[in-house]
Amino acid sequence: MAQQTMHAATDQPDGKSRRGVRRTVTILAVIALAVYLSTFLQILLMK
Amino acid sequence: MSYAATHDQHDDHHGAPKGFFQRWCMSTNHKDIGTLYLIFSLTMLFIGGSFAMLIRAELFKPGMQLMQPYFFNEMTAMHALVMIFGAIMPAFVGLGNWMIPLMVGAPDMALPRMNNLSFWILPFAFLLLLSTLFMPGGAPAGGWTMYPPLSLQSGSLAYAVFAIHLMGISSIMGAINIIATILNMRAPGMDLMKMPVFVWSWLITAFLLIAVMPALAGAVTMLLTDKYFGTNFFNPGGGGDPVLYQHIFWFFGHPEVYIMILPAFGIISEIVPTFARKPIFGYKAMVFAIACIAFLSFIVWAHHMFAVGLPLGAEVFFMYATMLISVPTGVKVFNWVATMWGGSMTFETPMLFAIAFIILFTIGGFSGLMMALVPADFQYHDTYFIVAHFHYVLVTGALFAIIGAAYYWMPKWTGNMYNEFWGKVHFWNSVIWVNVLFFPQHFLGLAGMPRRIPDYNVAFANFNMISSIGGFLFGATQLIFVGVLIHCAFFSKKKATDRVWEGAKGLEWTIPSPAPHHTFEVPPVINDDELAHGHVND
Repeated sequence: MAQQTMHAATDQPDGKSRRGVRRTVTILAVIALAVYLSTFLQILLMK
Repeated sequence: MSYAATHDQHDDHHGAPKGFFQRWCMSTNHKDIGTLYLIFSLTMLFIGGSFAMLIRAELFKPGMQLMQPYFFNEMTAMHALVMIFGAIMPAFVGLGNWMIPLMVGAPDMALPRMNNLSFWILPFAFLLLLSTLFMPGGAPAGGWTMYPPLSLQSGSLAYAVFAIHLMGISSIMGAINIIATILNMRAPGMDLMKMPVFVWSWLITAFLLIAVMPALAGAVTMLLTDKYFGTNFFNPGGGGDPVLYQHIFWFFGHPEVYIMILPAFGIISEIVPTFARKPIFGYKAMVFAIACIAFLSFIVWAHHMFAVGLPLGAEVFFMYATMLISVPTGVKVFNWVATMWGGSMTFETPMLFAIAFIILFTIGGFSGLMMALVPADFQYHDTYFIVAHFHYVLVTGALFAIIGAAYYWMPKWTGNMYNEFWGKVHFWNSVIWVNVLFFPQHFLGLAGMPRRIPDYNVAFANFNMISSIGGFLFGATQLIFVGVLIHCAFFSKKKATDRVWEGAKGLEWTIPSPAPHHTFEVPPVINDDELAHGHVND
């Protein structure tokens, strides 16, 4: 289990910000993948 | 007073890694990776510039002079691909890498290893792309837009497509990194509405990148499968439609244009307040204008395709949507002017480039507005007027902003002041010759000279010769820039102060010059007086 580190200035656990990074990356990666895949579906709109 | 804890922390005793390979190839440091991006983009600027010199040499006078038509087409396509994906975009990513963590008080980017990967993909992508010049089938020659069926004739399409995929992956990873950094790594007290405009412009640009680079990847993948795997996405013979490619490409392509200009807006919004010694006029309006331009960029793509035969309703919609962009853009231009109004201005090289940007980018914007008019665009379409327009936007716009940013932040990066005299020599030569190069192209286009042709009617001879002379001299002038950079980095005796510029405000100016290898390991204490735009709510 990862050791919890404390934010030096605020003295708060900085796990929240790490979870924030993970969540941000996941959401953005899903958006990128969705745009890529949806590009191929546009051919259906032309019919 | 905000302060940067740079010397009294344990981690700060670690400097840069000693070995060359360790420092530059294995780097996870945002400053080193930013430097790599900037060096890479400067290299690409000269490679893409050499292609432009060949184009202008061929067009120096009518008739075929130096090259075969196919090679000319290769040059136009490769010049654009190298300049857009190799010079302008990596330069902005480099500036973002260097400055965003410093501006928001973060110790580094949120994902430092991915940052390294984002950069090191690029040299391989461009080696692949440039190597196609030496392949039997030749390099891509269908323009940077790669419209089928023309682009499908290229023997090296697969290499170009793979290179574009790599560039796209690099851009998407870079964009995710920038968003994750800005949203999660800001120092306590650095609210979103206190961030420098440059950081805002990059945040919005990064969202554009994530939304549109996958569309380009999809479009070129379909080109690949059409050529090699028997699909018919763009082949009317098999039930496909070549215009579909244009729609998908420009759904990427138009936001891409803003990807190349929004960070430039951010840079100008940093430089102008510093040298006018006044806070930026209308901070919130500047931020909302950038967001507004970004939104509008998604609903104007078909203005590149007025001549393909769109339904009238579509042409009218895209015409008005395009014209609408001039409103937030006008807000930005007027706010820069209002920032300068009544300020105690000085005209150091970064400010000169910023002022030239405001004037010349506006000229490029106005010619864009002319092309937004559907009936008029039928006259301008595929002529040199278009070439003049987008070079005003991209050279005197994006490139001038990048050069201005380099002069502005170079003392912070190197710890040395650049030579102001040679900086001004560089500026005045650039601004004169770039206009000699591109302004006559407006007249050529209005007179009907088509773009992407190696030969032309003798009626166009004089303006082409003037344009070519301007091109050669503008190209040569950039060697002065390299000289100033090398002198500043290695030979300048004049040391930079921490603040560098009298009117500079923001966290990046509170750290020593040169910026230490590690900064803000302890987040800075934020004081609104020290922020670039700290009192926006007052």
